[in-house]
Amino acid sequence: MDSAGPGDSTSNQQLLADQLRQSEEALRDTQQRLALILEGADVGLWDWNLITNAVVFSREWKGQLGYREHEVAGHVDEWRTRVHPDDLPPTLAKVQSAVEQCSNDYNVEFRMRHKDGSWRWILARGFVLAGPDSRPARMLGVHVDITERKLAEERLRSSESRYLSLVDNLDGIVWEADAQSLRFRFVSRQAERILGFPLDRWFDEPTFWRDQIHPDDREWAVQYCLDRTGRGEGHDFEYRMLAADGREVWLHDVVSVEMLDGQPVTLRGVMVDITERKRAEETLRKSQAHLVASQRIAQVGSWELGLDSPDLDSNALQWSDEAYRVFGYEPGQVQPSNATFWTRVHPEDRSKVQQAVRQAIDTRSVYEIEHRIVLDDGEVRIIHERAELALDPRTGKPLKFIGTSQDVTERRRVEEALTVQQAELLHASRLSTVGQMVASLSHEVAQPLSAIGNFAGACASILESATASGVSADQCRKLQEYTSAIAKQNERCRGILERLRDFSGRTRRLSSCDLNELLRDSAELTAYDFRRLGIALQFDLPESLPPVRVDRVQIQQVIVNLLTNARDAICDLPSARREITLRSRTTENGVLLAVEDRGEGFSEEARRRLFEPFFTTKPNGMGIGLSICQTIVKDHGGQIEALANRHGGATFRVQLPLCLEDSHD
Amino acid sequence: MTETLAVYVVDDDEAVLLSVQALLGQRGFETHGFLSAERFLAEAPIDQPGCVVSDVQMPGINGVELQRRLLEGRSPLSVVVVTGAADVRTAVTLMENGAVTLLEKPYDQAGLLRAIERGLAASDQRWRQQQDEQAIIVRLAQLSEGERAVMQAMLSDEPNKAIAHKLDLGMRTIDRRRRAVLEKMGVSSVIELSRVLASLPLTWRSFATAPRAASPDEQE
Repeated sequence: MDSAGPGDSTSNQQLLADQLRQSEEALRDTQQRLALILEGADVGLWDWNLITNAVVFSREWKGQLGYREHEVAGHVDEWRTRVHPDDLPPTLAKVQSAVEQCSNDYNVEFRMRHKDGSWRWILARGFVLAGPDSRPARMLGVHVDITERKLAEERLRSSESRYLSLVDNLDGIVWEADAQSLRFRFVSRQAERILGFPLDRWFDEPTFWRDQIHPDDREWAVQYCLDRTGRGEGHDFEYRMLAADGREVWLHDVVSVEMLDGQPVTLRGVMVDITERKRAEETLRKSQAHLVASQRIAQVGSWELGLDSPDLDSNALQWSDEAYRVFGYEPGQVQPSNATFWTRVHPEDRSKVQQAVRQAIDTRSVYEIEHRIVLDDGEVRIIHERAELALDPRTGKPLKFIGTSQDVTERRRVEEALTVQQAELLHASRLSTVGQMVASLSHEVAQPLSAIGNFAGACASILESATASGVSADQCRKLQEYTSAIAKQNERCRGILERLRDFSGRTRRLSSCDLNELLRDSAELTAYDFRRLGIALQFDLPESLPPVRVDRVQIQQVIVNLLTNARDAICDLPSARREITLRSRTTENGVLLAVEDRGEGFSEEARRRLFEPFFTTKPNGMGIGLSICQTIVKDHGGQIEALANRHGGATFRVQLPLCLEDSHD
Repeated sequence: MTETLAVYVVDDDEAVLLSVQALLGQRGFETHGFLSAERFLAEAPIDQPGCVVSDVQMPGINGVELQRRLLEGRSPLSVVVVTGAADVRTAVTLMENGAVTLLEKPYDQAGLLRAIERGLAASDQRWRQQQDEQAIIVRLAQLSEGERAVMQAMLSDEPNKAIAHKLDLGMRTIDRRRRAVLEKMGVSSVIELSRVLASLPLTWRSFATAPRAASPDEQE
C-alpha cells in the first residue's frame, strides 16, 4: 500500500495514506490498548486452526502457565496435555459441542498445570468461526486465570460447610425465627435428635415452638421471650419442651434480637439440651435436702474447723444449719467461730473437751466426746461430737477437723429411763421366779420347822416327865441333843429365807464372788424341786476358781433360770435322762459356767431366737427368762450362748470376766 | 396296849426323821426310822400291826406309792402322811386308799400324836380282824364239797327236806353234813354261821360260798 501510484493522484494518495496511517495508528493504538488491557487483565488469547490444529497462543496465555514466549509451541496439544485429567473430558465435550454448533458461546472452567507443577483454574471463553465452506475453521478465545476466585469460592464453601456442620453437630438447636410470629426460618439438624420431631414440622407449623413447650412453662416462657424481644433485648432462659416421645427436655435458650428501624425483625438463638444437668442439679438438690433433713431429724449438725493457725480459736469454723440449731442458734444467726463454740461448752466440761481436741491433733486420732453445753436460756443439753482430722496428703500436717455434733440429750434421758425400766423388769422377772420358787421353798422351810416342832415336842415330853423326879443324866443329854438340833434347824430356816430375800432384792451390788459358791447356792434354791421330780443334779466344779466381780443376786437369777429351763426340758423324760450337770471352768478370759441337760434340745431356728424377748418353746412360757439372762450377763461384760449337745440335750454357757484387782468395793 | 405297837417313820430328810423319832420316843413309842420307802419295804415287818409316818415327796418310791403297795399287800399297817405341799388329787388318792390323815408340814405335834394313836388303834383292829378272817378261811377250807353245798342251802334258810330233795340226798346225809358244817365252822347255829361269814370281806365271802366243781373223792 505504501507504493505510490501515478503522480496526479498524489494528494488523494497522500490523503488516503494519511487516513490509512491514521487508521493504522488508531488500529495500533487500539491494539496496544487492547494488549495493555489484555496484559493488565491477564487475559490470554488463543487462535486455534481447526483444520491444522495449529494454535496461536498469546504471550499472556503462556505467561498464565509460567512459560515464556518460546517455551510453548503452536499446537493444540500444548493446551490439551496441560488440562487436568479430571477436567479434560468435560472440556473436550464442550469444545466438541461448540464446534459442532458453530457456537459463539464456548464457556468452560478447567484446571491446567502450571510450569511449577501447581494447578491453575482457567476460565475459557471463545467462539467458532466458519471457513469459506461454512464449516468450522477457526476457534478463537481467551483464558482467564480464575484460581484466586476459585480458592476464595472454595474457602467460602468449606467455611460454609464447616459452619453448617458446626451448627448441625452442636449439642443444641441453632435457629432463626421471625421476631413477630416466632415462626422458625431455620433450625439445625440437631433439633431432630434432641426433640425427635422432623424438621419440617418446625417450619410448617406456625406455633410449633409454643405448642411443644411443657404446659407448666408455656405461658411464662413465651411471654418472657415476647417481652424481651419487644424491648429489643437479647435474653436467655431455661424451660422444658416435650419431645415427640413425651420426654421432658430441659433447654437453655440463648436468643439475640436483630432490629431494623427500631423494630425487632429476626430472632436467632441456640437451644442447648440441659436435661442431664437439670437432673444432676435435681439429684444434688434432693440429696442436699436429704442431708439437711436427715441432719435435722437426727439432730446431727456438721462442722468444719480449720487448723491453719496453732491458736485454734482464731481458725475458721463452719456450721451446717443443723449445727446452728444444736448449739441453740438459728441458722446464720451468728458468724460461728471456735470462740462461739467454747462459750456454749459447759464450764465444767471445757478442760475435758480441750484435752480431747488436743489429743486428737497430737495423735492424729479421731476426736470423739460427749459433753454438755449451756444454751442462752441456761438449758443444759448433752452433745455427742465426733470429728476426724483431714491431713495434708503431702506433709501429713492436720488441715482441718471435719465433724458432727449431735444432741443426744433425749437419747440419754431415754436410756436412763430404760435402765431404770430394765432394772424394774429384772426385778419383776426375779420376783416371778421367786413366785415360782415359793411353793418349793415353803416346803424347804417346812422341813426344818417340822423338825423344830418335833424336837421341841420331845423336849417338852422330857420336861413334863421330869417335873416330879428331877432330870436324869440321860434326859439331860437328850435335852441338849434336841435343843442343839432345834438351833441347827433354825439356822437352816434362816439360811433359806436369807437366800430368798437376797434373791428378791432390787439393788445392784457388785462384789467379788466365788462362782462355785454361787452355783451351789443357786442349786440349793432349786434343790427341793429337783428332788420332787427325781432330777439328779451333778456338779462338775474345779477345786478353786478365780473370783468374779458380779452382782450375786443377778447371777444367781441367771443360774436359777437356766436350771429351771433344764428342769422343764427333762422333767417328763424317763428317769435315766433326768439329769442336769452344773459345770464351771477357768478360761482364757475369765470363768465359765455351764448348765447341761439331756433333754430334747432345740432346733437351729429356735437356737438362733432363744434370747429374743417373748420367744419361747414352752407351752406356758413367757419367753422372758433367757432374754433377761442375756441382759444380765451382758451387763456384766459377759456372754451367754446356747449349744446343742452332741448326744442330745442343750448346754447353756455363761462366760464372765474376771474380777479386776483394782475395782474392789 | 397300842403303845407297844411300832411306829415306822419314813422321811428322806434326816433332821425331820430324827425329830419325829425323838418326839415319839419321848412319848413312849417304839420307833423305827427309814430314809427311803425302799428301805422300809425291804426291812420292816409289814404284815404286823403298826403305824407308818411317811413323807409324800421322796426320791424313788414316794409316800403315795408306798401306801398303795401296803394296801395291795393287805398290810395291817396304818399310814399317816405328812407333806410339804399336797395337791388335792394326791390328798384324795391318799384318803381313798385309807390313810389315817394327811398332815401338812409344819404340823402341830399333838395332831401328829393323835393321828398316830388313831392309826395304831385302827391297825390293831385291822390286824385282829385279819386274824379272825384267816381263822374263818382256815375253817372254810376244811369243809368238803358236799358240806359246802349243804352250807350254802342252810344259809338260804331252806328246810332240810327241801335241801335233800334239791341235792338229791338222803335226809340223814343232810343232817350229818349240817352238823359237820356247824362243828367245823365253830358255830352253834345257822344265824351265827351267817354272821361269821358276813364279817368276811366280800371277795372271801363269795369264795367261801360259791359252788365248786365236785372232786371225785368227795362223791358219796
